[in-house]
Amino acid sequence: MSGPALIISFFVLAVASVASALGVILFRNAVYSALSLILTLLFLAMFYLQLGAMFIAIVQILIYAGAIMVLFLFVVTMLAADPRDPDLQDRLPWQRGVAAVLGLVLVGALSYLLLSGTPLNEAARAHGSEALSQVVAQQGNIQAFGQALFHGFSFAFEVTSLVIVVAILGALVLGRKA
Amino acid sequence: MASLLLWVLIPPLLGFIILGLLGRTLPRSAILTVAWGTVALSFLFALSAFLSLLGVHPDSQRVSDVSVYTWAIAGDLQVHFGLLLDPLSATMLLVITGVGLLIHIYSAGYMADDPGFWRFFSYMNFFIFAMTLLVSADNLLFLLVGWGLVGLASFLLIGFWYQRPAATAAARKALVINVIGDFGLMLAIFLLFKHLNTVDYGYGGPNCIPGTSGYGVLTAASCQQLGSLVSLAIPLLLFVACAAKSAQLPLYMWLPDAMEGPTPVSALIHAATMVTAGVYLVARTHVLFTLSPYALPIVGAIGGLTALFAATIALTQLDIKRVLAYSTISQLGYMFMGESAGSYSAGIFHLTTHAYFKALLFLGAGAVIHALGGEQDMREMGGLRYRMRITFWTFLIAVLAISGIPPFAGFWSKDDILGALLTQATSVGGAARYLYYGLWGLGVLTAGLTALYMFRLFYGIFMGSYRGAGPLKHGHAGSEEEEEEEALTTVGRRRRGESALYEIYEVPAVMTVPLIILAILSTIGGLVGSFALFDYSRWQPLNAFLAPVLGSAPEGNLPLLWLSTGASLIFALLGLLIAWRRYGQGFVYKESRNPFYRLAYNKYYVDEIGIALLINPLLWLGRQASALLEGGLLDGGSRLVGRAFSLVSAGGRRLQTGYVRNYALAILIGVVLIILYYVVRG
Amino acid sequence: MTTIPVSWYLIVSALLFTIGTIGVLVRRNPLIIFMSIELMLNAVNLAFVTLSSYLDSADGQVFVFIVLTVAAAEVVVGLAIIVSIFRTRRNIDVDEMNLLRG
Repeated sequence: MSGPALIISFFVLAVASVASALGVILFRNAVYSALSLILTLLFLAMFYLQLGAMFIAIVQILIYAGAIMVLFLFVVTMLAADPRDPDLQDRLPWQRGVAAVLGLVLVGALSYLLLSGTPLNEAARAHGSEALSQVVAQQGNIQAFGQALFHGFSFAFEVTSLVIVVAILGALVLGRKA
Repeated sequence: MASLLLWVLIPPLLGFIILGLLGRTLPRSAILTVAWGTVALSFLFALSAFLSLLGVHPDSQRVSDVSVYTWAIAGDLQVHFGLLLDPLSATMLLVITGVGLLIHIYSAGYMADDPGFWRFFSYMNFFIFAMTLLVSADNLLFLLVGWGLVGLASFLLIGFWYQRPAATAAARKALVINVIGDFGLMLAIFLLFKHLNTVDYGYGGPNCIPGTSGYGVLTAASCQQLGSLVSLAIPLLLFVACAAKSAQLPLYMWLPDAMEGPTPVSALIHAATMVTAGVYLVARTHVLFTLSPYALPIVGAIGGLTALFAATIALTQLDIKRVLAYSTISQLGYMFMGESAGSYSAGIFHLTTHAYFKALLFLGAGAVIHALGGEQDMREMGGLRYRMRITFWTFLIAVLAISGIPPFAGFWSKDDILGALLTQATSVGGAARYLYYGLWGLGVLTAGLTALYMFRLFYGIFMGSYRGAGPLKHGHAGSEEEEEEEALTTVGRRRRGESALYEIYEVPAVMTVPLIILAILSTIGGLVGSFALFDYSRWQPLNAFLAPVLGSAPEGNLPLLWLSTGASLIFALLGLLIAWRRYGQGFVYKESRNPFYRLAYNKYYVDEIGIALLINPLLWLGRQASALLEGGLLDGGSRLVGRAFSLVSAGGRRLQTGYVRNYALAILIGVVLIILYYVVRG
Repeated sequence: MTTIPVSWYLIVSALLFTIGTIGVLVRRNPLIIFMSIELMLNAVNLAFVTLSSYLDSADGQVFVFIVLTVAAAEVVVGLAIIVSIFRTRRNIDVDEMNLLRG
């Protein structure tokens, strides 16, 4: 993609992802929220593609949109509570206003910090054969990612397997009929 | 020789440990084997130590001081645990273990029904250990250890029937007063160490030169360097200890109350041995008492006043054990009088004979109490001579002995004391002369009173017709409330008078045999003293034996001695006569309105005065202090802290709403604040 | 090749993160709160990928991969907890679970 197309696609993606994200928290029905979240995740995957992270984009779609969100939808349909239940009045109505104000302050502050040009450290860029773009050019995208994962972070990778085992066992224990 | 002394000490200690740890599980025969066996061993070792001492010539070599181990070294202070065998400690050991053995045997009968049988004998063995430690220690520090331990044994045994409130109160009182005495002894030891750099009795210490006045305590030459004030303070502080342990004015109040303990305890600890520790201490440290011209007269004055004071109270008491308790106090006063006249051997002599006849009196009274099932009131006795013949005869011998009727033991020793007092009165000059004349008068008067109250007691128990209602049906270990309750409910059914007398039986042989042995000793025990009265100077075995330690008593003038003897004998017979006139046909209790009688009957209101002047103000002070410190300062302070916390948390708990989303909000606020910090910092 | 400034991506990331935060604060359905948390995680992932690309290093992508794994584990356990709470209380309003109050 060339310059203007890139910028246009960025803005389209940005607006779409923010809109669908707002959908997540604004829909009353949890099913709509979940679908909205799936949309957000898809837009994010496109961002990743735009940023050249092909493996992450694919994984994002496979795991998040494919696996996690399916699980969410299962549970949502299983536990659907009546949204018009009179018991379920918001006991903290004031918190909405406070949250909105704080959210605006947070976004404002972060944007200010980003735009006021706190300079990014150029020296931190990787160079030479270390640079990602070099490796991608020589070996391909997935290989580059795999090399980084298994060379630099093999221990963390192994630990994630442990985390998953524990999570599975935990889900089993919690899901058992008491 | 001192290794023998170690063997005197060890068996009772072992017995105490064995009985204390295992006694609960042991059968009765095993308990008696341990208790009797250890004391008998101790007695045999004491006897052989005594005999080995007799075999040493010349007399002045009769001493052995062996350091068992060094207990502490701190700079100049070297404290050895040493055992001293000399005529004084040998005599004391013989008395303690001998009388102790007899009373152990007797106790097997007296305590036969008590559930705390093993506990009793373990305490008794502990007492024998502590007392032998006291007299065989070769320095004042270990004497203090023994001194404190006998106080502990006394506390344990007075409070032996701890279910009785009166017994525990008496035990507390005894302990508190004894600790006052311990404190005096401690201060005296501190002063001695400060000025003489030693706590030893003076065998080889750097400042003491042996051989200057026999081989006594802290020889006189070494002690000359003390200033006049210190040389008065040390003996007076020592005498505070003696007065507390030996129940002299004004620290005597605990001894009558100590009669709450079992009667064998009263006989062993509160008549024969422990209370004479003060007499022993004065004799042991007599060199210190001679340093100041005022020390011995003060001792004598207090002893004389105590002797008369206690005798007048004894005249009016109805509880037979209390009569004997006041009699003990009076006789201890006698011993101090004798020592104050410089005749320490007379004091020790009276200590020895008193141990025999007063133990006999207490054991006889114990037999009566045992036979009557715990009755101690003279009004409920009488006529027992028909039913308790052995007790009757042995008690009579003891009464004759304490009243000073020849040839029984008390006559000789009392005579020795009075003779020494009169000799001292005629030989010293100045105001002290009048003091000693006065003391002699007090002694003679007290001798008469002693005969009077002892025969009153004797007639009350054994003569006349029986006034009680037969033996109380329960053991003497029952609580007093029970006793009163039973007396109320059964008084109608129980027969009074002669027919009830036949329910009373003589006590078993295990109790009468010690009585008989002590009666023999009370009869002939006086013969070991001195025949100075007959100008037969070669026969005074005890005085001569003790002379190397205590110095020889001043030579008496023969007519003077006879005068003294005659006067005391006349007074004693007079007392006997009055008792016979008044009580010979049996004791009759009459409420008397005579103010002097009321005064003596109520023990001069000393307890009441003490409570009003000392106890109540102290209690008031304690309550105020407790209200102020506990209530105001400590409680108030902690309440303040508590209130501060509850105020803070009353506000703080509102923050804890329990809503998860509130907590999330708090986190977000924190995040925003951190980001804003970076924005502001730029 | 014209590139989009890094800060633009990061601003999108910040927006998504804030939306997720507000979702956690205002919604009472624990499922939607969970989704909001996923949104926040993904916002951070976007920042990681952006910086990875900017710094020309694969490390950021490895972080994203690990975040994905942990998020999956978290969702599994969290949903199991929600299901078991629903079983006992028949209600999954987070405001009903306020026993932790002072």
